[in-house]
Amino acid sequence: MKPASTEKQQTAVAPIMTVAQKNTIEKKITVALVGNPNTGKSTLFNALTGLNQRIGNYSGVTVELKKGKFEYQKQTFDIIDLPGTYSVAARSPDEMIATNLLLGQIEDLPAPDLIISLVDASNLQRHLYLTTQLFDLGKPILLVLNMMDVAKSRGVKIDLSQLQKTLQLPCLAIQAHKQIGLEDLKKSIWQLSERLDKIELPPRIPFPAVFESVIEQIKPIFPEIKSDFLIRRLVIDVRGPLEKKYCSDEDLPRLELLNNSRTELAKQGLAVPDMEARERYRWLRQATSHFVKKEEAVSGSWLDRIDRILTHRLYGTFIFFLMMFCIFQTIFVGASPLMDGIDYLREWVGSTVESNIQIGPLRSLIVDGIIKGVGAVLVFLPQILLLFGFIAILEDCGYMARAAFLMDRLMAWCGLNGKSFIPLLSSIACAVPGIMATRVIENRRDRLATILVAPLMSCSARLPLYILLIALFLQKPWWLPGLMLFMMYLIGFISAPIMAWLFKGTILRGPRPTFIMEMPSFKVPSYKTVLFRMWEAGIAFVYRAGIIICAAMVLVWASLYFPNHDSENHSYDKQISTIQEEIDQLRHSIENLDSYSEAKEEAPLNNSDRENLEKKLEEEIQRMNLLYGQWRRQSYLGQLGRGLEPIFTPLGWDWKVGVAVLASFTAREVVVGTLGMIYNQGEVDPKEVLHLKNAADSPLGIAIQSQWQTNPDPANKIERSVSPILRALSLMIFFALCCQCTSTLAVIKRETQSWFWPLFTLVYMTLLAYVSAFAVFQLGSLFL
Amino acid sequence: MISLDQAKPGMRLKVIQFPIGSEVSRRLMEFGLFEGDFLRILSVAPMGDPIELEFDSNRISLRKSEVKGILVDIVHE
Repeated sequence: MKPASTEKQQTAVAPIMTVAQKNTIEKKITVALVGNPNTGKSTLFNALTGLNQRIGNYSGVTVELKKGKFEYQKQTFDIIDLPGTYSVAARSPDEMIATNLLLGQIEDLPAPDLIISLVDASNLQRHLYLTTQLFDLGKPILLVLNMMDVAKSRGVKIDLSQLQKTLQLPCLAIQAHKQIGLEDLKKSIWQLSERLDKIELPPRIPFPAVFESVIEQIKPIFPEIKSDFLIRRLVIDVRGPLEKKYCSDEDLPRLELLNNSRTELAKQGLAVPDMEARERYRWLRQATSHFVKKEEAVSGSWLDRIDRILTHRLYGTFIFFLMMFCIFQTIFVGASPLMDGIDYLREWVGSTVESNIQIGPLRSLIVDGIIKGVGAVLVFLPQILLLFGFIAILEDCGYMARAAFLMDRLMAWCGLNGKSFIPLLSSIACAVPGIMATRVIENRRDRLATILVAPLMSCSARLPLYILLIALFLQKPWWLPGLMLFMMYLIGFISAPIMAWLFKGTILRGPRPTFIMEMPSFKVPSYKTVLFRMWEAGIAFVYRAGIIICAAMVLVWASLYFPNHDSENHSYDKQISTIQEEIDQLRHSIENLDSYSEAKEEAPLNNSDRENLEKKLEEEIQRMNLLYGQWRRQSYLGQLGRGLEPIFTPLGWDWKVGVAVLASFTAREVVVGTLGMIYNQGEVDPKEVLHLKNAADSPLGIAIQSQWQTNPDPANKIERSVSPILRALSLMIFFALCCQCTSTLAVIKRETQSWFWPLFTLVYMTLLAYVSAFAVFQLGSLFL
Repeated sequence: MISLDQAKPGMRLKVIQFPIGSEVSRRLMEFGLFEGDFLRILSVAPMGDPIELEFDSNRISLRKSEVKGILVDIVHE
């Protein structure tokens, strides 16, 4: 046996200890949880470890490995949840990870002392296939049968003691979903851990003698492979990762020898790789007849009939779209009061801080940087939690595979598969939960391609700008606004698949994974699993992505806040707050006047007084908006925008639009607010734009319209006057395609565990947006 | 004898032969489907692809392009 739990002591200076010593000192037992997908592995893992788990990062490990802990009889057990797999036969390096882990070849992860092989009792023979592969590892195995209730309902009877005798390994039955048998399981694990060295190892499934002699021939050719298990896999897994690793290009003679042995096997009717499955199933079919008794299958159960409808090409598709509509409608409707609540809370906290801290950079940092940043993170939570709740329900009840089945053909066109559909569809609401939803895609390249194109789907944060600009410049004829809005969404629907197809053909090129998807049987989803998935997604977002989002918010805040002095060295925020006080006072006086006349129940006599006050109020508001505008213009970001004007000019923008676009980097909807400030209209709430009957009549709308149409900026270097329609179109196209969203980038960083992919996304999308806006503006200029 | 991708929903089939070196065939064998075993086509997705099949207690969906070449006999009941 390999030494257990050596990860902490194994430093250069650590004294050499025997295995026995270590076990008495640390007494940590590592258990690996292995099983097929849809076996209830995650449910069992969660039930054993509770919230006491984390996702580990290990060098060279690209798939998520979850590690958890539980205690029994004062003994701590580390459990590692391996990715679900049907076979240890590896086709790619990703699929080697399970094997490497089981053999203790991953840095910082000790070799497991005990393997739990979790199998579905209702389909025992197939699940035991993987178990028999594990026999070859020569490690203690505990066989755990899940879903005994399902087996019983299908007329499958399993004789546990016969099973134990035939396979020669300890086994027990549980129902992970109903938390039945968990204590027994813990006890069994503990009992086994107490006598690890004395456990009888299950004997390997006998393979024909010819195969064994081939293995003996191969062994001396690969002296560096010490493990018997790996030698066998090397021979069986044709063109697998082991072959690539040990028979590199300079090693052609060895590959030839290996292939010669395989030919020899084929001549004997034992062609690898098929021979493994044939031999194992030959043995299994014989063995299972000893302990599995199947009564006449109860055919045509009502679940089967429902399944036929759900996967029907017409009814199934209709139900799927209806279901998607209901889910997204619920997310929209259900999340918005929560999001409003978070916004309200943020404003309340902000104003509380404002009234308690003196005006200055600190106050602004806290209110406009940090509180807004935290608010910007939290505001995503309702959508993420709701979406993940739905996804967990769909997955746990078994519908997700049906949805992927229905949508596969559509996605196959761009090189993806059906599992990419829901993540992309969710991105219409917001790319952040959409990108997190790509976790359902097992294939790494497919998942990456989906992540990279998800931000192209038109999210709801782009809507305020679309609505504002369409209302301003594309209002007539009557059918144009609707058509334009539809077009903006269409850009996403068209560009995302095209880009996915491009990525799959270039940077994400690789052998096309075989599409083989199990359709798990339907079951009632467990609320624990659903709540757990929601909790997990929420934590992952707030902790890992939230920090980056907050940091970016503070950065953009600083570049818009500083320098905070006009030419006479007066700070802007102090001036604005003085004006604000005057405004408040004026408003107060007007109110007083109104209530006075109301109380007297007579027409206001002092009408001219009121008019004077109102006029003054308007002047003050204008003065404040002017100051806001001036402040933004001379801020660092404003200076940058003016400096970058030559870059914006070919798109038909002036520096004002450029600054608004730059400032919206933290969140897309900010663009409307910044436009408002730069056009001296004060801070405009993007939500207000959505609720206006006609955005063109809003003060910002009028300002933009007049500025773009009649009053080109004196500093504007564009010679001829720019058509406002073209400018609006170019800005809209840019916004549809660019990645002006820190949260999206932060989530990509979190989900890919790398800075490369968010940077790549930013660069490719910005380029795509720039080129498209450029083309639209330049081509348009030829005609308009 | 037909190729599996030509099978229609509801058909009961018997596997005659797997093409050599096919990855899908290997996967199907890992699920326990061999020559001489029976399977049934349960449904076909919209736009005609993929197909869902059933054997033993397994329900699996596959793309037609990938099951081309798996030869099956139609079993009349």
